[in-house]
Order: sequence, then structure tokens, then C-alpha cells
Amino acid sequence: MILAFNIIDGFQNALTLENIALALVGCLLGTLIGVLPGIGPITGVAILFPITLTLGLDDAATLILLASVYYGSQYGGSTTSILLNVPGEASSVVTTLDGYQMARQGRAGQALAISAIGSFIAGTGSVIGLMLFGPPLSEVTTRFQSPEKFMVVVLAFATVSSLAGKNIFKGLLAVTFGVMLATAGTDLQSGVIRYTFGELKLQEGIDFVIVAIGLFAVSEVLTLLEDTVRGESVVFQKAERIWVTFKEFTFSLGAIIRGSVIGFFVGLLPGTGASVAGFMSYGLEKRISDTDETFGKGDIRGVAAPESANNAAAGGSLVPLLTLGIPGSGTTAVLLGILISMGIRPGSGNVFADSPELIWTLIASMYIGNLMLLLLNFPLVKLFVKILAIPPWFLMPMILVISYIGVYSVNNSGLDITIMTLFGVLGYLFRKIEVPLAPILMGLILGDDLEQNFRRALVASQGDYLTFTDGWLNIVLLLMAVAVLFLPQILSRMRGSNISDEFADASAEV
Amino acid sequence: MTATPHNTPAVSADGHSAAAPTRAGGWSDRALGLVCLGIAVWYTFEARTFDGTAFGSGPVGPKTLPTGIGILFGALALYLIVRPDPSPRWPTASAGWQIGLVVLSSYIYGRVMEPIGFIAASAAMTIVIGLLFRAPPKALFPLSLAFPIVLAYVFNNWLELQLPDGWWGGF
Repeated sequence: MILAFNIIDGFQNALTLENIALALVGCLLGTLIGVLPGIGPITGVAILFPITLTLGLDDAATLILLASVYYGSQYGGSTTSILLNVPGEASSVVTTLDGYQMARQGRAGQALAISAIGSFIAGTGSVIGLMLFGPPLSEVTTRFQSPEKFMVVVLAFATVSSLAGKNIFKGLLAVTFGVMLATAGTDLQSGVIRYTFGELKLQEGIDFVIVAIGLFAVSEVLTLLEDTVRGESVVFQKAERIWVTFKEFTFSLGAIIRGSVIGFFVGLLPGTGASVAGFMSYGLEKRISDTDETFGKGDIRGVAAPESANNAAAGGSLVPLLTLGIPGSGTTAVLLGILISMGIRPGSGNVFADSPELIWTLIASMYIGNLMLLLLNFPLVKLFVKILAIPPWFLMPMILVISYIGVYSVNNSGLDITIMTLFGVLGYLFRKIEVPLAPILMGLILGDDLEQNFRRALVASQGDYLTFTDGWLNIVLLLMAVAVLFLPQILSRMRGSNISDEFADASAEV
Repeated sequence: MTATPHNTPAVSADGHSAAAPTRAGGWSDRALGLVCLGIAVWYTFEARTFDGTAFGSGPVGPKTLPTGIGILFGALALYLIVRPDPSPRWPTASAGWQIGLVVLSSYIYGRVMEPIGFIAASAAMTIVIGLLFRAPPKALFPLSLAFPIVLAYVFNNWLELQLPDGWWGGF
């Protein structure tokens, strides 16, 4: 009953004219961001966040806008997978397998339609899941003391390191590097200034927005430039009419439902993102349904399953994000950074109880956003495809200049642009040598939490390190972290090495 | 920044001749490992200098976690040196200097944006990047000016953000 009241309250808050308009703008921008090469959801949300602050919106409105961008980019990413064979996001890598084949056979319209419908069903289902699982799980966090909070962050680091790339050691290296970045600035407890190189502006620490934009946007421009010089280009497929017959819909319904369920539960696992979900559901669907060996040759279920799964996972990953404060992907890490900067700290408190208005408004806005995206996609796909035709020579400077504005607006400082450039170079090099980028961001955003809880726990235990294995909650968290570190090896033994390679490819950019 | 040394990593080891993929050797990872090891040593020793007896620190002070993190980072760096992955395909010399040019102009942008203003800096930047991405100059030049002017107008008037005016004020 309380649930019903909460969600009705949420809808009342979300359904103001301003918030609906923001959700609409967010969905459009998000789809655009998903479609455009060189700018993904992480970059989109990271750039838009400081810019949103200049609009003077309240917290709920800001979150509605940015969450819509996040959702919209999931939709947009699949459009390019199908029409260009280029996944707009890591999460739609699998969609290229059958989606692009369908497009080549002149069935792009059906692929786009089933992807939109599947995404809608999955997205809506996962929000229902979030409503059911969120509040009770959030209750658990009220029993967390400092040692447990420390272990939760360790678990998040373990999962992101193990799943965000091919080489687990590089994942760990990345997350450790992120924590090192987080220690730069003034130590909150003792006032000691650490790792600032005597630079006054670094005393407040390094803003995650600057790091995110540098690592993801700038490095992407550099990577695309390298491809351009190399002469690599893509071939367009056209979509005439976006439609799907009722028969095709019922044919795909099983794949959509299975994809949604898998996606949601994969999303629930802390540290796993939408791309992992897409891959797992495709693998499962292939095993169940591929009796005529049509998968990989343009089977509509090969589009329906991963597209549903990645949207369900996007919703599912909000559960660990909003309850434990564990982001499942780079984008949700940025969302967490934004929540923290609003003074909301999931994992440290029960946000469902402490800020019910904000959370339920956000949840209600997700229902609205999903519906909006479904309605928008059918008439607007053609327009988005036209946008794809914007030449890179105009798009790349545009992305850079808007990135500069975003970074500049954080502190009104030119130094930040220099720092962003530096991280752009780093991001480019890291991409080259396959050091995953998302863990760096996670380390930076959660590093402070890690250290504060580490020290608080040791103060409480008077320096006894065994406090981190005290109590069953800590033991469970520790065992989960260890298990997660060995998960990729187990997965690759269970399947052929071929699939695990693709799996690693898909999750490389989470 | 902790990471500056990354600017000159493994390219020299096996890059520049990347017409053919060079998937052997693993020098890229070794170079990364070496750089990270250096950073780890510096980071850990730096951590030892933080005053642990400062106000508010209990049994563990501001040096404890950085020390641990630094050692972990060093161990991971060592692992990369011992067991590197195959090297990636590094850009050709011509792609390399074009990438360098983007980085340089981005750096210069950060330095000059405040004195010369958002519009002038952005227009120059757009031209440089546009040309690198093979823009037709006739279309590029007018767009490179129009685009920052529109952005400056939108941000300064519709959104509460003041971009530096510099040479052209008043938008």
C-alpha cells in the first residue's frame, strides 16, 4: 500500500509541465547522443550535468533530465547498430549481429521496430522491478557500519575490474589509479593537503566531470581521428518504414520476456552493466531458439533479446546504484557522482526513506520516459538517421567545444580544460592498450568513500584490521568480491573461448 | 598530475611502423607497467611524508590508505611488466602527429580561452580540428564562426553561464 502511495506521489511530482518537458528534451538529447558517433551516454551525461546546473533547476528536475538522457541513449545506440553495423554504445554491440544482417536484407524497419518495442517492455518491467526490490534492499543498508560500507565499495571495485575488460589486472590497475586520483586534494579528516603539486586549485580535489569528459569524449575524438587517417569508414543501410507485423511481434515476444528477465537480474549484480546483459541474453536465446540456425543471419529474435536485455539491465542497475551506491557502468557511476554532489549518498543511508520524494519522482519519470521514447522513436528514426549524416569534420569540433563549455562551467577555470586534455590523452592511450576506462571513474568517485569508511572503521576498532571480517555481512560481501574476481575465468570455461572473447569485447567499454 | 609520464609511452617501442599490425612483443604493456611502477614508488613515498599526527587522525592517518593503494598499484604494474598482453596497433606517423596536433590545440585552447574569449578560441579550434577531419574549407570557415557565436549567445543569454568574452564581447 505504501508503495502505491509513493508512486502516486511520484507521478504527481513528475507530471508537471516543466518535468514532462524536461523528460522530452532529455529523451531527444539522449537518443541523439546514442546515435551520434564519438559521444556516448557517459560523455552526454557528464557534459550535460554542469550545463544543467546553469539552468537553475531543482534536484528532481535535474535528475529527470539526466535519467531521460541515460534512457534515450540506450535507444539511440541500437539505431546505429542496426543501420551502420556500428554500435552507438557498448551495450548494443550484440545487436549488430542480427540487426545489421536484417538491415542488409531490407528489413531494417522491422529490426528498429522490435528493438523499440522490446526496449519499452523491458524498460517498463525493470522499473517495476526497481520499485519492488529497491526499498527492501535499501533497508539492509541501514544495518551497515563503516566496515560494511568499506566492503561494499571493495565489492564494487572487484566487480567493475573483473567485468570491464579482457584483462582483470588492467581493470584492477584502472580502479586503483582512480582511487589515487581521489586522494588528491585536502584530506577531509586531518586537513592535510595531498598530491596537489602545490597547485591551489587542486586542493579541492579533481572533479569527476572533468575526468569523465576527458577520458571518454576527448579520447573518442582522438580515436576517430586515427580511424579517419587510416581510411576506415562505414556503410549505411536505409530504413524506409518502421513497422512490425503482429505475427513478428508474437514471434519475438518470448525473446523479449526472457531478455527482460535476464537483463534485469544481470543489472542487479553490482558492477555489471547493460552490455554484459545483452551478450548473455543473446547467448541464451541462441541456445533456446536457434533451431534452424538463423541466428547471426538476420533473425528478429536476435535483435529482440539483447535490446530488451540491455534496457532491462539499465533499469536493474539502478537498484544497486540507489540502494548500495554501487554503479554498474560508467554512466551510472557518473549518475552516482551527481547524486553525491546533491548531498544524496546511497549506501550510506536509506535513500528510499530519506529522500522519498526525489526517488519516487525519478522512478515515475522513468515510466514516462519509456513511453515517450517508444512514441518518439517510430516517427523520428528517419530524422535521427539524417543526423548521422553530419560529417565528422563538423561533429568532432562540435563535441570538443561543447565538452569545453561543460568543463569550463564546473569551476570557470581554464586549468580544468588543460586537465581534461591530459585525461583525453590518457584515455586514448588506455583504450589502445585495453585498460578499461570506467573503473578509473569508479575509483575516483568512490575513492573518498573507501578511505573515509576505512579510517572510521579502524578508529572504531582501535586499529584492529579484523573489523573488516567481523559479522556475517562483511563475510558475505568479502566472499562476493572474491567470487566476482574469478567470475570471468569461470564463464570462459563454461562456454567456448570464442564467446568469452566476444563477451570481453562487449564489456570492454562498459 | 600523477599521470603526466603517460604522455610518452610505448609508441617508440613498436609503433610508427604500424602499416602491418604488430601484435607481438608486449612492449606497450611493459612500458605502461614501468611508468605505473614509477608513479607507484613516487606516490607511496609521498604518502609517507603526510603528517599522521595532525588533528583528527586516529590510529590511521592520512597516509595509511595512500600507502596501501600505492603498494597495490606497484604490484599490479609489476605484473604487467612480467606478463604483458600483445601490443596494439599503434597509429602511423602521420596519424600520430595529427593526434598530437589535436592534443596541442586542445591544450592551447585551455590557455588562451580566457584572454582571447570563447568565440575566437572556439572558431580557431573548429578550423584546426575540421581540417584534420578533411573538411572542405569553403563550408568549414563560415560554420566555424557561426557555431561558437550561436553557442555563446545561447549560453550567455538563455542559460546562466558566462563564457569569457575576450576579443568579442557582448553576446
